Amino acid sequence: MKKYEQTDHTADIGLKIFGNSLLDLFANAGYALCDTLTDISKVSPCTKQTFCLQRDSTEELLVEWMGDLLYIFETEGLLFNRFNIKSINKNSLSAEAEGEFFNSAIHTIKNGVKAVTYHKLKIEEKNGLWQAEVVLDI
Amino acid sequence: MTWMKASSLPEELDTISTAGSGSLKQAFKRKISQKHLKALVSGLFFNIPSGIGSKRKDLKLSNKELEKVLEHGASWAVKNGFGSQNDILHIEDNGKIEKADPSLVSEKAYKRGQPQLGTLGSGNHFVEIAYIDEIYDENTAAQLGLKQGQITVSVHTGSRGLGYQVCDDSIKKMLKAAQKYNISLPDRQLCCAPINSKEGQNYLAAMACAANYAFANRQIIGHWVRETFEQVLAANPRDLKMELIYDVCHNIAKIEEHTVEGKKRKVCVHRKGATRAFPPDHSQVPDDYKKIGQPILIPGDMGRYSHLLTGTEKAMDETFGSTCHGAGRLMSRKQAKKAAKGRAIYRELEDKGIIVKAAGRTTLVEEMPDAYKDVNMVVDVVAKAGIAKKVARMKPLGVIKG
Repeated sequence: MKKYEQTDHTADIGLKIFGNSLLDLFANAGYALCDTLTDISKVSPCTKQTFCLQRDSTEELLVEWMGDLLYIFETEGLLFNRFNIKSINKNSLSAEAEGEFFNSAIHTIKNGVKAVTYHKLKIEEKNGLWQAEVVLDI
Repeated sequence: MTWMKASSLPEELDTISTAGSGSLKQAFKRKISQKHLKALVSGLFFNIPSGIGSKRKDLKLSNKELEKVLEHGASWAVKNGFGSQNDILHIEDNGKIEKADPSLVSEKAYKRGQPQLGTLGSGNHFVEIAYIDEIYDENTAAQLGLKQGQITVSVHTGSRGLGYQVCDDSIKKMLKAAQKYNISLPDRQLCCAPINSKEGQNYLAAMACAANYAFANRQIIGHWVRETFEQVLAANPRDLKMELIYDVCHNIAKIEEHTVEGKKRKVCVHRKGATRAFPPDHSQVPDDYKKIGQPILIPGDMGRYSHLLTGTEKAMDETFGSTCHGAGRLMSRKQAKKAAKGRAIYRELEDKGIIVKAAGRTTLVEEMPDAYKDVNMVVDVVAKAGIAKKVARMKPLGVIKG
């Protein structure tokens, strides 16, 4: 099962993210964001960061999670490649992500992502398969 | 967007520049040599941090200093040696939106904003050297000090990560506010609150901080553009006389007075992908532009043209003093990448005489000329509609991209 695909959007980047469970969907959302920023296959899991997030809905939680990964990259230069969602419910998420600090000799920047938006934000579940749609502001 | 002009460069050199909610332009006479052009593009790329994570080691801000930037905008930059007091007169709202309240800007926004002041960013942000290839209104162009063949430089950048964080923080508050005020939302990104509510007023005060950061950012970059020209052309500032033509926003909400159904009313005008286009004699137009109206810079794409327009009365009557802000995309980023497969965009532009330096190939491909509409057609539409007047057209010579 593929983790995500890019969808057409005139000025920005649309992401369609897939998962076998909500935990899987959120892990793949982290992967999709970091793979949009860089070639994720070049990132090694050298350092770990924990996340405890709270929002009013699962959709908002998804934006918060991806937004936090982007914020950490922008302020600390940390890129992630492994995502372990420990628990999730409608309002809160607990997760760990592993990755390494950006090194221009190893990593390339594929896209400059300004923000994770709420535009056309959607999470759906059908027959146990989860799908989310997120638009990244480029 | 910001524009600057240098009026009496030695012999072949004359400059203009402009900037808006993230851009600046300047120009030299067409006679500029390829050698100098290449050196200028390289110099700009070296002096102006471009692309993700780039910063100048010589510009470090404390939280306290950043607070002053958020409050004072372009004036902070001038006070700290970036540009001159004369620049301030040619910036929308003199480079400072009043009622900015830095205490409403989050710690996260400060953290993002600190290392990024004086950086170009990525995406559609750029610095472009161009020359004036056509003048449509000789009289207005003359009043702006512009002539055929003159070299121009424009800069397009904005409030960077600080602005996105202000947006992100505000959305969280506005999602709650929309519920509180029983506003039904067609899309979460359109969350809102009544402008006179506490949430609405707090947002305007935080947004003003982001706008002031953007004014300061362009003012700093404009200064480095001047320095680069001085270094590469071995000329002193007095000889170059690079003056700011205008700096205008294209993504901001402003409280303005407009006539609605025959009555003067205070309204909140949100120009998102739109540029202010105030007419001659408007109180907000600088004194030396009162006769011609407010200058407007419309960037096209890096392979074709950009335009200089001025505001009109009709824009006040029909569009709350607003006009277009650019060419607009024709292809999605995904389509652009597909269309560029197997092509050397750098070479294609170089064959047209345009030198490009970009921090990443992806940006260059996504921003290639074919990905955009023809700006000439877009400008013709707004000119025919009467919501702006065509003054001059610029053709690019060199571009730096994030």
